[in-house]
Formats: sequence, structure tokens, C-alpha cells
Amino acid sequence: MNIVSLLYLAFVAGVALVYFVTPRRFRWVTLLVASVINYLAYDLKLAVWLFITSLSIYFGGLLIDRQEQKYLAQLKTADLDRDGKRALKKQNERVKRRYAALVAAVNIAIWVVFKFADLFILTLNRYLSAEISLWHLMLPLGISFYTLQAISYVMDLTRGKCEVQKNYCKLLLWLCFFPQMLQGPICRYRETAPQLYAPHDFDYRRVKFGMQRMLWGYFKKLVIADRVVSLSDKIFGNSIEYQGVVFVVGALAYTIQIYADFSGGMDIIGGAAEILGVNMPVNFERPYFSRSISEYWRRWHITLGAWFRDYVFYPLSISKGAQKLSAACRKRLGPNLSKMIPTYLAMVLVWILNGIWHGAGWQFVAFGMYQGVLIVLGMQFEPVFDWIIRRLKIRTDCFSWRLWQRLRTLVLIMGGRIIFKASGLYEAMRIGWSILKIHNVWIFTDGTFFKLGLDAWNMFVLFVAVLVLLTVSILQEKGVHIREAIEKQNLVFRWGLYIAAIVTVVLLGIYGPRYDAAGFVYAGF
Amino acid sequence: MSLRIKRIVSAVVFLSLTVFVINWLQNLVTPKYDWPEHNRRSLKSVRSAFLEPKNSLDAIYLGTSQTFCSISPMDIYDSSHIRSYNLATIAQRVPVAYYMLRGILRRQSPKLVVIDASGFFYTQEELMVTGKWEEMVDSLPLSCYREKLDMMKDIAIMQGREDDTGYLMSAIIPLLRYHKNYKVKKEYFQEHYLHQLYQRKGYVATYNFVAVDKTEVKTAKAMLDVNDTFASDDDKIETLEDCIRANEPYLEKLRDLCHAHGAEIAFVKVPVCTNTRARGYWSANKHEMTQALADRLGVKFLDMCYEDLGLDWQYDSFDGGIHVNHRGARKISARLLDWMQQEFGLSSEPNEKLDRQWAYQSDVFASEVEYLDLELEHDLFKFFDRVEQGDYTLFTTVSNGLGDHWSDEAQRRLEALTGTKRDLRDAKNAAYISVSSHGRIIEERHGKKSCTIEATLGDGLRYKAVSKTGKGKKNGMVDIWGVDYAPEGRGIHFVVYDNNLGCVVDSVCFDTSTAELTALQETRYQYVMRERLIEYVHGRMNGM
Repeated sequence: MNIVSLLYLAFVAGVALVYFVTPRRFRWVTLLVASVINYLAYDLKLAVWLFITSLSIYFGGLLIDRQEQKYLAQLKTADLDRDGKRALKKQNERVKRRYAALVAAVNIAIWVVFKFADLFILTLNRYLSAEISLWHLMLPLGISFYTLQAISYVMDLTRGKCEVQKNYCKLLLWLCFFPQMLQGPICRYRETAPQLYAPHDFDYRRVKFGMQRMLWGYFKKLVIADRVVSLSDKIFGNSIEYQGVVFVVGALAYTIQIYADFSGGMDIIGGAAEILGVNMPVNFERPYFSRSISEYWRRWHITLGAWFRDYVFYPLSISKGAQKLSAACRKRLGPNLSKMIPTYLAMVLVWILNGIWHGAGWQFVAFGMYQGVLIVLGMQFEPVFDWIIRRLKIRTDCFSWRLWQRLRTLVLIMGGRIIFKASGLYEAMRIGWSILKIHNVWIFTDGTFFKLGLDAWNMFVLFVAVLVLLTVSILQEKGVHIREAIEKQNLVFRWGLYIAAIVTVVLLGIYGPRYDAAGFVYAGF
Repeated sequence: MSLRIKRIVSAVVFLSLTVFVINWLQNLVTPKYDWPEHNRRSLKSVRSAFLEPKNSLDAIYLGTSQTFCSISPMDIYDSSHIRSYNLATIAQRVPVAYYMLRGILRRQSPKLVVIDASGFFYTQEELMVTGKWEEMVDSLPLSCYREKLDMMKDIAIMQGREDDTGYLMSAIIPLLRYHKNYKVKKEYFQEHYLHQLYQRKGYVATYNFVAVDKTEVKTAKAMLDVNDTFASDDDKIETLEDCIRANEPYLEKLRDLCHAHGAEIAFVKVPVCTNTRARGYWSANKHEMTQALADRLGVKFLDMCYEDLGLDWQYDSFDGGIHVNHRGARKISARLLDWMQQEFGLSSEPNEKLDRQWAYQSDVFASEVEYLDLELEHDLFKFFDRVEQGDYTLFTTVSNGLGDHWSDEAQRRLEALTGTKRDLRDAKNAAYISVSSHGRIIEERHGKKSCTIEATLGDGLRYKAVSKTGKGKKNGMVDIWGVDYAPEGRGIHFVVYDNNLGCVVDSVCFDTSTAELTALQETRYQYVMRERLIEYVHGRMNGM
């Protein structure tokens, strides 16, 4: 179900109504039924894969738990010395990890087949002159999100960070809770599941806040993202016709679009969940205010970054192999750099995986590597930068320095966006070269600017809407809680503001026939 | 008041307020389907049909623009007291007609439904032109929500967007479809007509005439005598058959719908000219196929194209033979009435209240027609008669000289009408201008080659008139407030300014180089005139 539709609004309202009138102990069942209906409505056949994943983690979880219970029983009954206990613990960990690895492997295999089969076949056809036909598989809804979520469950179980769920239906609810199915966030079991199973009573303030957040999400999605999409699509879709500064406009447009689109979607999802009493994990914290790329990734798609950090980066960087590599490098590279080598390698690998997660194509690998390399370089050259700052006596505790850092980070982010949005890696490089070489700034004065997909009026609307977004973001950055702040205002002001927001979305939003709302960018991943 | 009740009340008030604001916005951006500058029909007259008193209509007409220009319910009422309504719309598709009828039958129980066959020959692709459907969805009142939703569903299926709830819901909430209309030319969304054009009953009275080349026109009798097809037939039989195949199921549904409501159904074809311009609008093939279709469905069919209705295509059409003007419509309406009475025994039950209302509207309609008759006048002497009777300022200018056919009688009548002492017979190739009112000359100029008057009349009317001799097509000009109203053509031009309405109400050129004194018209004045006329009629309605 498209979350930008009247049907979705009616669905959320209907589910909320049924949820609050259902007896308290069955309220989670309401959510489960709604979530399953939502998923089945998307595609009946593809729902099989969701059930396979849910069954795999259910049984995997039971096996891990059984092993844990067995271990605890052995620990109690067997009379073991310290070494024996350590050996038993190691064996227990090993068995649990195997179970977890098996479950993860099954789910990753499904995900890889759906996502990369055609890329693999294309590569084979190209390099081995084979003639294998493409599979054209349709991706199950939210597979990239629920697969990671499923893996996190068995991994956390293995690490003892959460309790096993012995009720399959409850586990299924956690995996396919309807607001999050389209584009996340990637929830952790221990954070979200208890909220889903707890019976929430109707809370006027929470419901009101949830609706406000949804409205804000629709503003970002329909008024900003779906408006600016014409600009970015036209420039990157016809990149052969443009050069120089036009691509800067395109990159900026896409940078705005993807943020408004993804974070707008998150607000709609978060708002819908909030109405039902569930607080989704935060996925964005004003990422374009970041002062470095690594900070940016701590603020952008937070749940994905955290997933890679917890389940790929940490295990890799502290693995035995990493320790051996560090030791091997010590003689040649010295103690400092050799200590960092495993971290850097793990980091680059994480970013390559991050890139691949976003899409099947070399440009996504390059996108990931670009981010990884920037972070590694930033870390490695930090002492050099500090030295330069000291030597030039640059003040770093002032607004101008922070602004410079933010602008610099934004430019680097836009570079990544070009790789992401361009039709291919070669095209991305061509665009980058064109920006560096051609400085046709007159596009802003000779009328070209208004022929790039948005006319003057829409450009004006976009400008004002982005200004509103920026103002709200600055206030949030300063710690102002917008909804609470509005709540304290007089009724006339509050209602006026709400109605103005509704009218803005209704009138200035891009939706309806002949103005198809663009699909969510992240829903495609 | 407890907190819970307070919150419920607060939520209800907030929602109502939001709905009110959104509804206001919706009214602002939803098209009104008025195209005043094109002199096209307002779809609001469709809405007016639903304002007719319940079960008050005896007959309903469906069809295309040819139908709404040809059948005048008020003329039919004046002759027979049969109350009817013309529900034809521009290029009305049969499926659209079906839904419209379904909607109107919720309020009315007519004895007869007449559908014009012009719309039977839209191809499957043409049937799927969604704009034609959407404007009708918007024109039906909310009480016909089922028809609106069903039509929208049909459109959605045609467009392959059945799952688009927003699109389906836009049948009820048009804002979902038109929320971006603030970008569209604003005139299309303004309410040009404050009242409902109630007295016309869906009929579009057109005033002017565009002459048809006489040599192309054959009378119906002549065609029947030589068994001729009355129009050049370029239609491919296969295409026409496809059209019939596409439309027949809907016509069947229409027939069944009528029968279910106790109404009879009839097919008619209103006349079109036989000239080149109207080619393709009707043909012998279309006639035969419609007749066969009517036979299959058990429906009576009257093809007025083959009947001698006394239509004079030189002056009875406003666009050169495709659509008739009010003169033509009177003749067609009379014939249709005759046929409906003879074939279906159509009559009207006396109803004092309804008759009083219709009589009143008939009177208003007549006051509107007074003006139409001046415009439709193509005979120089009858034109003089009509101008003499009104409160007008007359601008007279000669273009390229008067030629040889400016007669003594014409001179005498002009002198009586304008008060001029200038004998135009002496200056057949000279320039002449006059401005007169009530038999008195206000300004007058003449010259051998050209003359000009640029002045302001007592009531502030600023004008410039030019008369020239020479070979150019346009050597006469009457510019009022920056608009040149004089038509192209040689001879004597008259621009009639109505002193009460404060606008130009007629502009005609009589070609005095021909013995027939052929009349040519200019239509640029009609937009303003229509507005003023409507205000006038509206004022009269309120005043009565």
C-alpha cells in the first residue's frame, strides 16, 4: 500500500480505530492482522518469502535458545573447573553462531538472488559471451529492510542481547509491522518488539503528535521531494545535453530530493506508528548539518549504519584475522598505522556492502567505496589538518568555521550523490569532470535555469518549502521540540498553523492524475 | 464539560473548519467549464437540469454540440407546452450520455428521451478521451455520486489506474484532481455567468451567421430526387462499423434504462449542411448504419438531414454549415416537436405551478431573443426596421466604395434612419462615415479616397472610424474602446451600439457590389455582449 495515498490514510485510521476498541490483550493481534493484510495486498505470491524469513528466524531463534538452555543446564549440573567452563562457553558460542550464520546465510541468499541475479547474468553474458536470459525477478516488498532486521534478531539472540520469542505470530508482527515495511527503519527486536506487544491505550496527545508528524512527512515528500524530482530527473536523465554548473544544480536538487523523500517517508511511517503507540527508532538527525562525512553517516539512515556497525564492522575489526593482519603489518608500517589497518579495511568493506545494499551495480560499489575512502582519509589525515589549522591560527570555535565544515561536507555528499544518481560509473565521472572544467554560471541569468524541469513558480514554491524545512531543522538542531512548542501556543495560532499546513500539502503537493507522485527512492532498495 | 467531551468537540470543530477551508479551495480550483471568449456552452446548464422541479420534464435530449445548438426546449414549450431539457454537451460520448441520463432519471420521469446520432460515430479511442468524461463527472451534482463514481471507475479502467483510490475519490472530491489548477489560465476558472442560464433549458442560442457557399448546398428534395448522398462520403465503412460496435452496448443500456423508467427512446439526427466544410459530420453510410442500428434496437429514428425544413444554409448556420444558429434551431425544433407528437403522442400534463414558472422563463427567453433577432437579420431593409425600433447608436462606414447596387430605396431608408443629407449614390467609389442615433447625425465625414473620425461621444464612448477606397479587403474600420468591430468585405458596414447595454450588439456588412446585398458578420463583439445581455436578462428576471 502506497503510504502517499488516501487508502493508506484510511487504513491507518481504520487500524487505529479497531486497535483501540480491541480488548487490551488482543491489541497486538490487530496490528498483526493489519500488517499481514498490508503485505498480502502488495503481492500474494511474494509474501511467501516474508514467511520463509520469519520462519527461519523463528526456528533459528528456538534452536539458539535451546542451545543456550542446554548450556546453562550443563553449567549447573556438570562439575567443571574454570577451563572446562570456558571451553563449554566457547562451544556454546560456536554452536549458537553456527545457527545464526545458517539463518543469516539463508536470508542473505534469498536477498542476493532477488537483488543481484540479473546483474550476475549480465556480467556473465558480457564477459563469457554467454546468452543467459534475465530473470526479471520482482523484489518482495521491503526485502532489503526485513532481511537485515531478521539477521539482527538471531545475532542479538546469539549475543544474549534479547529474549527469544516463542510465539511465531508475535515474531511475525515484529518483522512485518505495516508502517515500516516500505522503507524501514531497521528495527532492533529489543527496542521495538515490547512496544508492539504492549497494549497501548488511546492517548489524545500521542495521536495528535502522530498525525502532526505524518503531515510534516507529507509536506517533505509531496511538496519538496516530488517537486524537485523533475529537476534532478531531467538533468541526470538527459545528462548528455548538459554541462558544468547545471550538474551542480542537479546534484543539489537530488541531495534535497533524497533527504526530503526518505526522511519524509520516515516521518509518515513514524507518525503512523506513533498513533498506534509505537515509537520507531530515529533514522535521521538533520544529516546535512554534519561537519564531517563520518558524522553525516551517524545522522543519515542511522539504523542502517548502526546495523553495519554492530553486525559487520565490529565483528570484522576485532576478529582474530584482523589481529593477525595488524601484527603482520607492524614491522613494515609501524605501530600506529598497523593498528588502524584492520579498522580501515573493515570500514572500506562495510562501505562497499553499504553501497551494494543500495543497488545492484558497480556505481553503487563505487558509491560505497567513495564514502569509505573519504572517511578513512579523513581519519588518517586528521593530524595533518590539525597541524595546518594550528599553523594558520584558524579559529575553530566560531560559526564561520562550523559553516565551512558543513559546506565542505555537503559538497562531498553531493559528489556521492552524483555517483549514486548518474546512469553509470563512467557517466558519473564525466559529470564530475564537466563540473570541474566548465563554469557556465550564466545559466542562472539566461533563462536556462527555469528550463531545467521546474518553472519559475515551482522554483519559488520549492525555495520557500526548503526554507521552511531549513528553519525547522535549525530549530531542532538548537534543541527546540517543535510539536511541544506549538502545543504551548494559543488555539487560533495552532489551528491556523495546522490548517495552513494541510492546505499547503493539499494544494502544493505533487499528486493525483497527470502528476504522479514519484515512488520513494528508498522503497526501491 | 469533561476533558474527553471537550476534546471530541474540539476535534469535530477543527475537522469542520478544515473541511470548510478545503471545500472553499476546491470551489476555487475546480473548472467551471465556461469558455466565454469561444462562445461555447457552459456545462453549468447540465447542473441546472438537476434544479428543475422533480418530475417536471416530459422529454430530454442528449447529443453533441449540434444537438444543443439545434433543439430549443423553450421554443418547443411556446408551441406545445411540452416541458423538455437539452442535456447535450460538447462531443458527448454515448457512455457519458448514459451516465448523465442515469443521473437525471433520479429526479425526472420523462416520457421520451431523444438522442442525437452524431455521437454514435466516435471510435473506441475517441470514446476513451477522458477529458470528456471528467468534465461530466464534475458537472453532475453530488446527489449523483453513484454515477460520478461509476464514470470515474470506467475512466480509471481505461487509463489502467483502477487501484488509484485518489483518482476514484476525485469524483467526489475534485480537488484531488485539480489541486494544481491555480497554474492554468485563470479565466477558465472564474464564474462568468452568475445565474444558471435557466431559461434556455440547456439550449445554446447562437446569434450570428457565417454564410455557406450556395453552389455547394443541395436541398433535401433535390438529393432525394437524384438519390444522392447528401454529403461527400469519405467515411470508411469498416471504421463506421467499429464505431457502431463500440457504441451499441451503451445504446442498448440506454434503451433498457429508459424502458426501466417507463420512458420511450428515439434517435434523431439534426441537420448539417452538404458543403465541404461540414463534410464528415454526416453521410449516407452513417444514415444507413444508424437506421439499421435503430431497427436492431427497436427504436424509431428521424434523420432530419433528409427532410426539407426550409433551412437557408447561407444564414441559418453560425459556422458555415456544421451548427445552426437560432434561426435554424427554430425550424429544427418545430419539426422535432411535430415528430414527437405524431410518433409518440407526446403531450404535457397541465400543471399550474409549473406552467407559471415556464411561462415566466419563456418571457425572459423572449427578451433575450429580441437581441438575437437583430443579429440574425441579413436583409438590409429588415435590418433598418429593427435598428429604427431600438435605442442604438449606429456607426456607418463604407469600405471600397458602395458599388453599383446601392439603390434609391436603400438611400431613402438610410436617410430616414440616420438623418444624413449626403446622397451616397453620387459617390459610388468614395469614402463615407457617419455616427447617428435616433434619426439624427452626430458626426459625419466623406472624402474622395478616405476619411476618419476620432472622437468621444457625450456618454464617454471613445471611437475611431475610418473609411477608404482601394483594393484592400479591409478598408472600413469602427474601433470602439480599442476593438475594431467592422467586418471584412466591400460595401456598407453597420456597427450597432446598444445605449442601454453599453456594448456593441451587432456588426454587419452588406455587400452593395452584388445585387443580393449579401450580408457578412463580425463576431468579436459577442463576448462582451453576452455578458451584458446576461446581466440585463438577469436583472429582468429579478425585476419581474
